[in-house]
Amino acid sequence: MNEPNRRPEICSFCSLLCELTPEVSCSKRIASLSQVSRRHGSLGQSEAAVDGSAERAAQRAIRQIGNATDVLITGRFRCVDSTRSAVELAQRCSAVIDPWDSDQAMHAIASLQRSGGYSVSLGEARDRSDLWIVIGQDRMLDHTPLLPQAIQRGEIVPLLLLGKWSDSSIRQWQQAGFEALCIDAHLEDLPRCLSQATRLGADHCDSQLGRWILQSTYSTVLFAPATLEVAQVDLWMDMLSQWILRQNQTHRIATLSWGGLESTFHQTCTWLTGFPGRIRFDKKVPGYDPGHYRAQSWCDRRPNATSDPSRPLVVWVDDSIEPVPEEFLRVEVPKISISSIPIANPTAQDVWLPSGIAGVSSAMKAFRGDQTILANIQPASNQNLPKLRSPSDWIGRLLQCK
Amino acid sequence: MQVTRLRNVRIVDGIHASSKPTDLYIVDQTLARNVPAETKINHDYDLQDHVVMAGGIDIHTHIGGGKVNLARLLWPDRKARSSDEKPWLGPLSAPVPSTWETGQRYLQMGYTTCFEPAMLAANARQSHIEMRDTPWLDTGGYVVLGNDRMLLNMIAQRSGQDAINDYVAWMVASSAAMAIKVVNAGGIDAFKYNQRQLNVDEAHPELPVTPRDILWSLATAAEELGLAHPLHVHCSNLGTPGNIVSTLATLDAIEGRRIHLTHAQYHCYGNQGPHGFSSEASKLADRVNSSSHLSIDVGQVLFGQTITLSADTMHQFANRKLASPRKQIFQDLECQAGCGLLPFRYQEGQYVHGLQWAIGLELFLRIQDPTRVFLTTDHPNGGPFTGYPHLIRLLMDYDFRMSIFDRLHPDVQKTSSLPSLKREYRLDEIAAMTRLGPARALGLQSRGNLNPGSLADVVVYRNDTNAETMFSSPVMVFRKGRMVLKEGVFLEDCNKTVLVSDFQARQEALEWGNRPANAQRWQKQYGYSPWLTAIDPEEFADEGLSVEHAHWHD
Repeated sequence: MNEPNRRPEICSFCSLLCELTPEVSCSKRIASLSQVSRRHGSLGQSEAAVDGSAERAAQRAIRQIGNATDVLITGRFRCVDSTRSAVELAQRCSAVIDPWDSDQAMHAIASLQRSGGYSVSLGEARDRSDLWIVIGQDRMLDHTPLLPQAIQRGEIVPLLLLGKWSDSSIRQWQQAGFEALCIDAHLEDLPRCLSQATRLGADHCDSQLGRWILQSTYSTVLFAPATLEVAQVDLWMDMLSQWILRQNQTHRIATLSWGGLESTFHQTCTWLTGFPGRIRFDKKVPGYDPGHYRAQSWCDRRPNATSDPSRPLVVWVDDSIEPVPEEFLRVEVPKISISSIPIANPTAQDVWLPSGIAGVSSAMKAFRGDQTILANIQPASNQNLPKLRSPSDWIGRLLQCK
Repeated sequence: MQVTRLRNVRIVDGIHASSKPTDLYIVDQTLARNVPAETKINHDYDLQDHVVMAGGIDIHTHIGGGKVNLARLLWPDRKARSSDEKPWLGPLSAPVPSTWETGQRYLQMGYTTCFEPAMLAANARQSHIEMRDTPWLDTGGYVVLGNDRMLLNMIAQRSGQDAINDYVAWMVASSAAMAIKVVNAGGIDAFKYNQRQLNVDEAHPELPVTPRDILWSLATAAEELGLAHPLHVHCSNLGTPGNIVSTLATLDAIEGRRIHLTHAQYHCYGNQGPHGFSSEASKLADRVNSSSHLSIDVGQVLFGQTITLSADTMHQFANRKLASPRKQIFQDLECQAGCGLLPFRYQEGQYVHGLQWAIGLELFLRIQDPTRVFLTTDHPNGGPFTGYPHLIRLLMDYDFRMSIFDRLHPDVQKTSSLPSLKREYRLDEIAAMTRLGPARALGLQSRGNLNPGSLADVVVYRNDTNAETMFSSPVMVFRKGRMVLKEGVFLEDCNKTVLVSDFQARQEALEWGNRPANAQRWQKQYGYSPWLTAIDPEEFADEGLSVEHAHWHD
């Protein structure tokens, strides 16, 4: 048995979750790993100090949770493990739970709940598509640099880039092996334009774009809601979905809506509670209110804890390697931060529980961006990083005492 | 050693038919009929006028995986559950509830083991993780094959049954499945090529393969690999008037091999009568009665709101205009299958819905052997699983059945033969169809019965003339020997087990993914190695699950 073939090492720095091979070279991974090594290195140097104070910090955190009557659990959840434990903590504390950066994902979910749609997974689209329609702008490739290679099946396939794409991005698609043609277009209008282009059907079509779509045997419309710069993503997606569903009455076309690692939270929270997030537990029963239980709105309503009789508390859970957002730091509510990066300028009431990086220093389960494959990601084998508790380990510690 | 004695109970498990009160012992995790006289009894319950059954087994219920979670997402306007101490006694929060609520609701009916019947290999990890997060239930899943392009290519290229067996073994082992399910053989893939129907002997639009070829190859693989559960078949033409022809052709295609026909109610329709839609339940029931190698689950329709979800995109898309409320989700998935979701409301006064309800009951009542016809609603497709106690009452009480029949569309009342079927199920037959039969069909010797040495999953029901009341509120439920529910109150969680197939060659099966030619073909098809989606048994241990293997005993 060729044992080394088992458990491929998986890159956790974007939602493609690439298997690492000598051929896979990703600028995002290289930059991120260097950042992780620096962070872990500094944590490692002060490991003894952190370790010595960690238990005291945990005790303080437990006391704070015990005293608080109005708790928000938020942060950047990137894996099943952190989400599970955070949802359990929210249930125990009758807390609100919602990721900090959930707006775009919730818009996409709202559209799905209203209109549904016809979508395709990455592997299917890669194998089956004879026409790709990629809607967006350069930001899509900033988020997932290897996406062009991932959807390329090893033969030349036509690809239409609709939106705002720079020459360098167009070259990336071409270098991956696509016959790429860019049509500069206003993103807001695209669903309507596509509908117009195909409205007369294959026999009477009066636009080149429409003919391409209608002559293809299977088209895939690729976009990433989190990187789309349109005013109302949910309404934009509604229009696109309606067009796609209509087209499927006569020929085959589907969307590949590419999500970030944050989609793992929404998936996990949905199976655990029935809702994708933005919930508050009341006597262990989740209540869903996408408007009222948005994390940032919760913070906006509590600008200052000293004047707030409800003893508010925020628990920040962070699987990412990004700095804690400025808007969050401005909230004057006691904070427990479970993250690899300490809170900048902490107050006396703030507590930091230093954690490792999920997928690099600890195992994690995360969804690929099409939310079809749930990958089991083991710690990076070639990184000499200190052992630190994962966010779910820390929450487990807090749960023991709640 | 912990010993619990259940005194003066009536044991009903489909094997033991005595109505005489007797004692049943739970010794740690297993059952015994007696213990040495000096044994210390830790817990002792006098249960006169109570019935004891093994934990219920649901052989076909959609409780984990991508489409199940999409169904949860599609239903945000649910009722808030009341937050009193027994919130599960209130109405179901949604047709597809959360994992937490699913576990509670199943246990509250006395069910302890459930099987997700449609795991995509690509999505198997998610299915298992969701089921792991479903408290109180032991779970397993069937891997969906028959629309996976690798298999279709192998059949098209006449690669030979040995090569197909190796591939199927890999798919079952790497997705930690109990069995193989085929959904509309070849039809889901044909739909990706814009074909809207595929009959049993019709060729795929791109490959020289027919559904008959696929069914035969997979049924042969299941048998030659020694899988405990036979090929689990969702036939072509689901829900289409006149589909009895393709259903019988499917049974013929298997050529005498073992087969389980799933949600059979949706596959025995004629096209006669005032609306071009009629019952052919008697034809299918006759076939089951005369074929000992054939079992079915019914997929009973129950009136009310639900969501239909299926890997059969071809037929779900065809039914999209019936969605109520009017929204739908479809997906083409990973060169393996697809999924389609439609909210749906079954209405008593609607002719087709009423006849579907009657056809399901006809199947139950016409099939003689209750160990080969299993009680399911194909949750959530025919209705949520929480309707099982109501369904049991329909089977046990002719007058109750007729009281609902009398409310159906007048043309259903004119054409259905249901009133002539006076059979009323007995308790031991209910135990056979909800416990013993599914356990046998799945190769689970220690479950579904109350034999000495069997697993102590035990349910105590208070005897009641109203079967719906009786089966919706057990007095006690024991899981692996520990009481987990008493008078509606949940006491503690229990260790969970994942049930997987045991065909002798799991390690050999996994070798398939290491062979360079196979790995290269897989990589070319999917863009990743075979090991990305393969489940390592250690993952179950990491999740706190124990593993139980099913055995095939002919």
